[in-house]
Amino acid sequence: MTPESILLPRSAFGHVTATETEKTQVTDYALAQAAAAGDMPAFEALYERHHRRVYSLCLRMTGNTAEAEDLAQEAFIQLYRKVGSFRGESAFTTWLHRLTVNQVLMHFRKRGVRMEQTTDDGDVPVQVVQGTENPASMPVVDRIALDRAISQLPPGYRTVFILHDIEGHEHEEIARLLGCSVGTSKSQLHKARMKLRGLLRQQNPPQ
Amino acid sequence: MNCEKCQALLSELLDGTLTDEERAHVGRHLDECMVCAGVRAELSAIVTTAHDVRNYTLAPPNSRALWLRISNTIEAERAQEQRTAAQVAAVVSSRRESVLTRVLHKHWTLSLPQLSAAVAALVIGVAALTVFTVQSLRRAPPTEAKLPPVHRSINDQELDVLMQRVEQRKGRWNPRMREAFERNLSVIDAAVNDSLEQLDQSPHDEVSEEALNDAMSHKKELLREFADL
Ligand SMILES: [Zn+2]
Repeated sequence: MTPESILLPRSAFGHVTATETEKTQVTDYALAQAAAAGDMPAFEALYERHHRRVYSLCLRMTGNTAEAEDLAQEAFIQLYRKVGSFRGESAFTTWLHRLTVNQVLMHFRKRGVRMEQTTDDGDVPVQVVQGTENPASMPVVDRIALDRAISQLPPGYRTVFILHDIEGHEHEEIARLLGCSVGTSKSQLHKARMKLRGLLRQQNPPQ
Repeated sequence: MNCEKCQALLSELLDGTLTDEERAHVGRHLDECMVCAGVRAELSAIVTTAHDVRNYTLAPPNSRALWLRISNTIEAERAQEQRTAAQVAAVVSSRRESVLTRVLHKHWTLSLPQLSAAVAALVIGVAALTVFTVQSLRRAPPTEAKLPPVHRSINDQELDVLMQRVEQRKGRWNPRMREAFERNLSVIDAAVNDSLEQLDQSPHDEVSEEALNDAMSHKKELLREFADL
């Protein structure tokens, strides 16, 4: 039996603060159960643990801090409403991640963002890199530069890149989430990577 | 293989999804083309860095303010739910009073055998209503009950039967009871519709599916309760 599977009694969270709960390493599942029974400190502890991850995902997917805050807020309100249906079968982080992704995708659909062919230039094939570039030198690719470049991607490319390369989803799952074919997901990913390569070169031209 | 074809396959090469034959072709081109080899190296660096990005989280500009907005919204929703629950409890107790008054007002016009029958009926009636009150109060936090998942289809025979029975009974309810029922039903239906809307847009969203099942369980419980009134 792993520590994850131990369910602590509900009374354990009666009057604990979020930080205390964090220190005592109560499992997410136990906190979720307590939150489902209306225990706000337990829910606050879940917020304290996971809000950065939820906010970061929203921010990367939207590229906009105000939108990301609104979406993170909505994700946690949805979490409170649905936390009773979390059965502890998957990791809580995975479950919350799915809930957040769905929230963002729904927001995109409401705003009319199209997931396929959402490029500024239509669905033009990726430009072939020609020998005119200096192939020996490579731009620096660090986390911060990459994050900045991601925010400049068109939403459709950005979504697939984040879900696949950052969050580690398979193409089959992405296709399901976006309602597109696996082939589309693969080609969007390739275009996203090629576009990022161009953006990183612009940002940080190799010497 | 030319550069265009080679570059088109670079992502699949990095992800390991090319066939052996394709991989061999791409490999041969990369061995002799510095341009494509350079692109491959850059894409590879992007993919590797993306893995790091995952663990690098950013805090919202004001975490505390964000929490307060979230908790305020939740508290407002909870207050609304509690008002609804209190209203149901009040309706039930007022209904119990009305049974009592009716029987007590009548009793002196009844003969002795009639009176004893009335007392028996009163005892049974009050007991039944008490059970109902306790049940509905116990149900106040809506996440308590864990029924087995309901099938996702809304074409549910049991639901139809319950709905019909409620429709038949509705005419006999007093306005407060009707209001309490409608309000409960609208809260639950909003949750059902919310989940259905999400499932409509992402049919494989298990989170919404679980939420839909929960909402449907609650709907049935509500209908079962009111179908007997
Ligand atoms: Zn080449």
